[in-house]
Amino acid sequence: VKRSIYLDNHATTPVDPAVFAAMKPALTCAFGNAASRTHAFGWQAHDAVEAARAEVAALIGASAREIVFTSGATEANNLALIGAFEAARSRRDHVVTLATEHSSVLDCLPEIQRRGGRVTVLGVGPDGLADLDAVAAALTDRTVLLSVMAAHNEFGVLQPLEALGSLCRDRGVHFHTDAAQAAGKIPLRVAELPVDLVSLSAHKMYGPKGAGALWVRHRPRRVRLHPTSFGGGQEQGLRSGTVDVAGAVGFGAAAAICQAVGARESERLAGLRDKLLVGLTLRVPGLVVHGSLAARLPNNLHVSVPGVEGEALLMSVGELALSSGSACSSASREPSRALLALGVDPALARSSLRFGLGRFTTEADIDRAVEVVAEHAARLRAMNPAWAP
Amino acid sequence: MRPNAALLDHLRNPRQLGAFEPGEAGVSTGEARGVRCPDLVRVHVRVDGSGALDVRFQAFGCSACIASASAFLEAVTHGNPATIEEIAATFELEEERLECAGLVEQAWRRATHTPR
Repeated sequence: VKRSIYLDNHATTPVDPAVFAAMKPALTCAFGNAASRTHAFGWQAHDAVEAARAEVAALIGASAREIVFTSGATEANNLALIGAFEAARSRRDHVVTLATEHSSVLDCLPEIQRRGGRVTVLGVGPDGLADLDAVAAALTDRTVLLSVMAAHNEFGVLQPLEALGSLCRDRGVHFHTDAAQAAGKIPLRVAELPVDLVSLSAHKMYGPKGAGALWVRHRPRRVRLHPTSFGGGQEQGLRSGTVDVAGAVGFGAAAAICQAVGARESERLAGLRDKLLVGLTLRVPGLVVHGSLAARLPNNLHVSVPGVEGEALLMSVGELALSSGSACSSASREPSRALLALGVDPALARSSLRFGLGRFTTEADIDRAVEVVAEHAARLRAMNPAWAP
Repeated sequence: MRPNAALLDHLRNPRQLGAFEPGEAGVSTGEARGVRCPDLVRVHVRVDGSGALDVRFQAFGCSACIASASAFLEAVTHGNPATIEEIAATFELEEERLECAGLVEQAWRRATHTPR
């Protein structure tokens, strides 16, 4: 059996061995409940969670008390959208977002409508970037929140957070960004950005699955949120439920590593990604790149190989772990709605391949990926009766 | 979908792949396209003077489409025709893949003028 080359780091990343080492005590001897106030087990867990909170906050230049631990970015996005809407609904009941957002944002919209709110979903340009004029026109004095992800989970496009946030500031609208893919890969300093709510995910940055956070701006004015879960009142009443101590500790350790090595790592990955792009362009005639190349995550490449079904290519190759926007490769049997929102032809969406490079990707992995994708693309094109180069 | 070993074998080493020379005598071609997806299978059948049968296929589609085309025509070539249901069972295909898997049979029927 050939070794598998993992290039699906937008789906999830492997847990960094140093993160796993940091988590082990919380899963074994230091098992206390962080909310237990009457013994050392609880105090120890509390201290571990608070140290982790400070590490996560430091990654985005925030204050620790502004971090609300959640089960991941999906829960953080739900809390940001539903929570901000519920807290403001008597004055502001309108939410604006983009058609290319993650399902954990888009699928909040019917729920907001069900609760009596109004929503606007804006299109994007072929480069995947938000249209600032359209956003400005959509924001009204009834808008509570604009939600735009920092970096796209499929095509890696980086949105102009500064410009989008400024539009919100001018109109008293909260600006939420889902930074699950961006955090740890590009600099995000909330003190310097006009953002109010930021969603984070541990498992996209070499931490464990099941851990995430919502950063909630406290200064100069605290963003009001209504909780979406109820119970013990943990996490400042915004996220009831016993805190996953090991998850938080792993998230903190992962954030600290990203803060220490993120810039160098991103530079290395951008070099490998560019090598991948050049290699594929030379070896696969007709390759199409989706989304802006200039405003893009350093570790992302999303392409289509016309004339080839993405799922057939991935199954055929075997040794590469990638994903495709093809309907045949998704659980829902629908092509990627983000690619379609980009204006990509459904047939081309069918031929898409998403490469997500990561901390453990090597140059040899990239060379091999180019080799096998080119070989199998040529083989599958040769059997396509409708393929005319 | 998680492909099993039998499917992967046909996907990576398709049997009866290809076409005949354009204008070759005794060749009949049938084609089928998916309704829910743009999968395309073309089956070419050649009968020579002695009545010997040769079949080839071309395809654009998912792994189930390509592998089923290969398996179906391999079975035909060996004089041991299989139904798409049998092939789907061998490949452990999910229900929704039956359409892609069945294109080869439609194309075969059109090429050989065999009604269902």
